[in-house]
Amino acid sequence: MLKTVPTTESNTRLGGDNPSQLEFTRLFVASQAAFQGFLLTLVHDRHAADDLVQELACRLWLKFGDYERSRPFVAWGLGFARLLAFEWRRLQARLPVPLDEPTLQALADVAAERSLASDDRHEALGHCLQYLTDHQRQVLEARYYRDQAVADIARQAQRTEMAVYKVLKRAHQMLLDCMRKTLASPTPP
Amino acid sequence: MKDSATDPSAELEDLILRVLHGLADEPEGAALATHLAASSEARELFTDHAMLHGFLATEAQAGGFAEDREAFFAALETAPPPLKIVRRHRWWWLSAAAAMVVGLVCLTFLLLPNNAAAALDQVIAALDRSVDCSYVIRVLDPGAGRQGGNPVEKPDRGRFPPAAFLDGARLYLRGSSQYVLKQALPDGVTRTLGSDGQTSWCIRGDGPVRTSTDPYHFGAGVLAGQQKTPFLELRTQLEDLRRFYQLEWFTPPTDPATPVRLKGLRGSRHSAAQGGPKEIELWFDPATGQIHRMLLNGLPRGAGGPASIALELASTAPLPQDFFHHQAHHEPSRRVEAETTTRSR
Repeated sequence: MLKTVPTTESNTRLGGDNPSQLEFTRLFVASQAAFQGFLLTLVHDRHAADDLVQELACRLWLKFGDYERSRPFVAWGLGFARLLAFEWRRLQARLPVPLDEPTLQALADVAAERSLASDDRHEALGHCLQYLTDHQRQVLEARYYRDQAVADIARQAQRTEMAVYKVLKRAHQMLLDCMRKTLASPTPP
Repeated sequence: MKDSATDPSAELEDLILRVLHGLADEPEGAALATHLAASSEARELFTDHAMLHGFLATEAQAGGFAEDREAFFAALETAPPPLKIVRRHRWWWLSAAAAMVVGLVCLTFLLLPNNAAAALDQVIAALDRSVDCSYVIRVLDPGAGRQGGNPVEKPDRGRFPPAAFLDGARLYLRGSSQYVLKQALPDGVTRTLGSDGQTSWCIRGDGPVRTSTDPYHFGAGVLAGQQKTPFLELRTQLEDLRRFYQLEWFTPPTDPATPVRLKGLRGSRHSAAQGGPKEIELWFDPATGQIHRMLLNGLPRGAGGPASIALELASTAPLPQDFFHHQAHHEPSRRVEAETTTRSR
């Protein structure tokens, strides 16, 4: 039977009607930063980590029927993310940081532990961003939002690569230091 | 280029940041690996920086570094031109006359016996006219076997979105060479891919725009890596239907919501060697050749993907003139990357 399909653009909804799809998407989106950070720690390349997050979403969806709701979604997903990162590393001809299996496992353990507290860390970062200088903010915006390489930022700003790198480095150090203090503080920011 | 330091921990931090920002050379990468193997403190410091690196990327995409976040989001919302309904008053009589001629020709063909191939020609001719239309994609069968409400699929099928996520996707067509497909992915972002007839393009969430001169370069990811996506390469699929399928008429069920009396053509593939869906059904308006429903049964599933899908006509409203150019689907500052000619996702 020919179904009646809405004829206006505005009432078209993308995605399926299955409630489990909606639940999955909600859980995944809430955990995405944790997965992203975890994968980045193991693959060391932002674009590769972005691709792996996409692939992780597909794999988790396929196994979503096995997910026990009593368990945190992040903890469940990290096991798959670990396998995915290891698979990805095995397929690379060259890696920027060549790690042996025990080191990689040890690094994954630390990253998993950090990822489980990802929400607190992300919140702390939100608080610390206010301490960035205008210049740091501009360089971070170019590096992370426009996704420009350090060399490109330097060329555009007519500065040396070293100068741009130093700005990034100081911003990282300041933010990390601030996040640690914020997380250690008994009162939330 | 090193921000040199004599303090070992400062040197380690420098190495870490150089790796994360893509500045480290091979010996530096190896030196960092040695540190990570030797010390738990090094692993903790590396993890902290790597996670911060990820958070900063997430924060940047959320406008966290914009001087005025409100203005940033306003710009994102207003950047793509608003989707206006283009009304083509001046040529309505030409369109009406053309529709009448096509209708008469169709009627002539359809009154003749064994005229399925000729009717299919009319459907192809209708597709070739640069008329806008859009279809909703329904996944009727996501693939063999189910477990816990989810399709069981091959473990090695990689990063292709599961078949269930094609359900509800929207396909926009203008003629036979311009298309846009909008699909929600499992991680909540929308993948939009299309072609303006010259350049094909793909945008995933807020990522860069990838472009290619191959008109179907990005279609390979839609049906789990199948190199050919029948509903994107619709004209080719219809030509294949004429050449490689046994055609027969059928009468589609009437539907009060569809005022026109549709005709049905069903094609069964002659040979498995040819590839493509095993069976194709077309429900079309004999007056205009407009496809109202297209059913693709027995899709090739070498790497997974759905077994059966349907395209259902959703709208024939004219779309904005630039709708099939990627620029109509993202803010002007979005990065654009040209791809090589190999088909990809």
